[in-house]
Amino acid sequence: MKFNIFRAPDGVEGGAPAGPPVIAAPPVVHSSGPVGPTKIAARDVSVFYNGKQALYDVSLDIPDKTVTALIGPSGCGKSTFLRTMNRMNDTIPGAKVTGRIEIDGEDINAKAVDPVLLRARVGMVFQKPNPFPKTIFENVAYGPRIHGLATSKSELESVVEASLKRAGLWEEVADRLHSPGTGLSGGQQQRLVIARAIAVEPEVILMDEPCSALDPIATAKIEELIDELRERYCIVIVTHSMAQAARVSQRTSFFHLGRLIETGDTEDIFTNPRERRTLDYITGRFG
Amino acid sequence: MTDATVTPAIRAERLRAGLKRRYAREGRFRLYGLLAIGVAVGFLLLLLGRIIEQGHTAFYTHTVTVPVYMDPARVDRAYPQGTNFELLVAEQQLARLGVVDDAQSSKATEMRGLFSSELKFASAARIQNNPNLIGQTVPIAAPVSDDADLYFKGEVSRATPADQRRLSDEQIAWLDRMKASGLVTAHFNSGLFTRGDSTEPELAGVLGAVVGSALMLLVTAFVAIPLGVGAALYLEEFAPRGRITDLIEVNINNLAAVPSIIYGLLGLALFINWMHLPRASPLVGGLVLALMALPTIIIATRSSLKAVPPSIREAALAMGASKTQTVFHHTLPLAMPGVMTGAIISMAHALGETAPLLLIGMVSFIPGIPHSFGEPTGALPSLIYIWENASERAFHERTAAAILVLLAFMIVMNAAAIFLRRRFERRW
Amino acid sequence: MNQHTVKAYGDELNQLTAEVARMGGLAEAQVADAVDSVARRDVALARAVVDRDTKLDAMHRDIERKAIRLIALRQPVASDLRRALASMKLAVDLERTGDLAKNIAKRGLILAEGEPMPPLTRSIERMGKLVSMRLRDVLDAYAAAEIDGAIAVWSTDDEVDEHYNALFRELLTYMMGDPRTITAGTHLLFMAKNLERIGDHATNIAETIYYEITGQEFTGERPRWNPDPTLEPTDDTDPTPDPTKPA
Repeated sequence: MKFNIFRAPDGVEGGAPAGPPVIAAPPVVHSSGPVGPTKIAARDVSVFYNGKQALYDVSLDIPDKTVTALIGPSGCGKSTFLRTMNRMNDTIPGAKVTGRIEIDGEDINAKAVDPVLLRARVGMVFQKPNPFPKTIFENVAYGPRIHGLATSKSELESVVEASLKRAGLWEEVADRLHSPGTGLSGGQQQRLVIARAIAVEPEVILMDEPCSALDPIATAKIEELIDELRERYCIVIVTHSMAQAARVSQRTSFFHLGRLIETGDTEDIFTNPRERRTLDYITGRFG
Repeated sequence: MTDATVTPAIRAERLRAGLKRRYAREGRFRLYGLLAIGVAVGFLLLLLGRIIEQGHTAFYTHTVTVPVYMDPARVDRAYPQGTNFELLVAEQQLARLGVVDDAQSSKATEMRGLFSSELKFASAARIQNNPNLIGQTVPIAAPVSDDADLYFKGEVSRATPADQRRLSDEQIAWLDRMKASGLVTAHFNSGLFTRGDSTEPELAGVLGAVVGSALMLLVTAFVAIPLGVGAALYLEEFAPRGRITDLIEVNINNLAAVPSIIYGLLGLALFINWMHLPRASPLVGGLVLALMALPTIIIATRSSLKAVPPSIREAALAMGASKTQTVFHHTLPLAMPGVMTGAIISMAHALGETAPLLLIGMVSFIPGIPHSFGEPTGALPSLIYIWENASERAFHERTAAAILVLLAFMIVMNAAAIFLRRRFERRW
Repeated sequence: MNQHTVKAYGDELNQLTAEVARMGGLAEAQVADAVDSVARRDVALARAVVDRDTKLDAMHRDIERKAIRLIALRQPVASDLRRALASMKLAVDLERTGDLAKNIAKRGLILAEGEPMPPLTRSIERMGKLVSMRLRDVLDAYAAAEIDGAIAVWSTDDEVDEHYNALFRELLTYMMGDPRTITAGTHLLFMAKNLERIGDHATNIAETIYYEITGQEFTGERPRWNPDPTLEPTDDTDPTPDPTKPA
């Protein structure tokens, strides 16, 4: 009886050879789950840092009221792509973005679009919790204040309370709103940062590895929060943990060396991906 | 070195021996450090010791209270200042001591040498205030002359031959008698702090110079700090990275090292000769020192701004704050401790600069207390310079005292810097 | 295919597959030996088959334990997950196959006490050889991890049914002709049924292999030969009763 230890799945339908990404044609979102209409549409997006190309012609549709996870090994461009969606790459000298990114059909890189206003619609949560060195109240109130969304003291107070409640932090901090935000634990700080982001009522929340600095319990709380938030917002999360991507997202995109390799429903990506590189990555066969 | 040749025992032995060497080296290094600190502290103590030794006597002085008979025949009611009070008092004092004067009034002259000119001004002032005092005996208090003061402090001794002394034996005898009869009291020399400069050491004080320095510092602060912080903010946060910015940065760093006397020349040419601003005024002095302090403030502010973690900036930008809002709401407040420290320390440096002041003319004798930014004043460092060059011996102790005042000023400013920095430090 | 970065993970997966292959070899041998023992009336061989069945049960439990451990500790996804699940399913099918083979051997022991019935036992032997061959083919496909063999086995499921139906008619005719042969004939009937069940298990294994390798479920009706519904039992879920126990 022959014996082949290396079970190579060269199946009939799957296992296409390495090459251009499978996602080529635009807008139709293949989905089988409760996924909303397209919120963000990226077409042929490339990013250059001082002439060096970091992202190659990425085209991707991100649906609304859904969590989309971007996975891939270090340096594959997923964080770079995330940052194109709120034009944070503009703040890096020497960064150039080409291609088209539309939110609700509107090109965000157009001259007429002010990045400051864009960032009120597209919020961001970073890897290391970075609350301002102010009070908890001031942290959450900062956004509404500078954008003029709440002007009177009572308006601010209600906005702060609503945001903290939605971030699941209200119970824990209601009695110390005027103590420094930096005095909270890591998980609480991250929820504070999320509250800060949602205080301006964004439409999209971008999360760059939000749980990588947190312990498992704090991580679970944030994941639960993400689950609740996706009913209101379009969420895009970059994560190193495939298990987290599998738990938390409905759509997953795999990036490698600056290219988008595969996109699909999370269930499909993790049970039967179409690309060899995707399979290698999620089963731990890289390197 | 293969595993085979190094047994655990040998390895342990090598580690132990290595450890001894390392501790020995560390001990030596610590010793060098302590020695270096010791030498520095030693010199510091030496310097301070010398100054204190020289200057501490300046902090007390002797005052003589003389009963002055306001002779109606000699005191002019209408114009008391015209009265020759000095001669009057000297003659009366001689009479009190039972000394007979000769035809040239040489003894009166000698007696006069024991009193300061304050005596006549005080007398005239009393009469001016109350002309009814004419005909009465009024006790007038005034400092003794600088030589008498030195004698009382033990600086003049009889051991030196008479022609090398400032006081004759007779004068010394009179002083002893006056002291014995209780006319002379020693007390804290508040005049040092309340009077302006004077040619007479016993009447000289640092107040004029202190006020002059203070006014100058105000000008420097109001000009240099906003300009410096603003320039640093622009260069660090807003200026596009490029050759021009690099060029500016290099030049600012160079300017910080330029000798201060060059700034004096610049001030002379620009402010005095071209803009015709008043010479030796706190305005010009302040402007010159501001130019000098500017590079330091810019450099200190820039490094404080650089030290603010980029995560805060990113968080602010991601919230939709504009560049300006990010800088003023977040970056600058967090950089404040460093900025304040830099500002205060450069003020403290400016306080002690002498060379530029010399060139803009603040080195001349200016009595009185300044009241405005436009009139000629002195400054503490130039006062020290003037007093050091003065011929009267009594100025020696006063120079040292002025140095102590300047040092105290600087210590206070540095302490303020540390306090403010601690107060405004925020943890992030 | 690349190696897993964590070599131990890859080794565990390979070990699991190897054990399943070993179990398959043992099950194959059991079936072949059982059929042999009936054809040659070899009592010793039949007893050996019966005894060896415990080993198959032990292997099944072992594979199941290993697979659960792998899933819990390694959290496999995609192809690795399918591999772990497939090994569990295969172990179940192979264990049932072994039970069926044991049953055949047991009935063979009983038959050996009576008169030999060469034509009928030859039919059983023919059917047994077909089933054995299919089992071997599908296990080869598993070991080689290629689906063509699996698909081939899957598509020929109707051959086994043909044999079974022919054997069924033959036995009925035989028993109707001579009532003394009813006991033996019934045993032979059950044996035939068991062989048909083994054929079904081989088809199950083919479907599982297909799913493991391609990640797609094998859709489609199994080919079934069904000419006369009145003659054939259509309920495939009847458990084969053990002849040594009362009905």
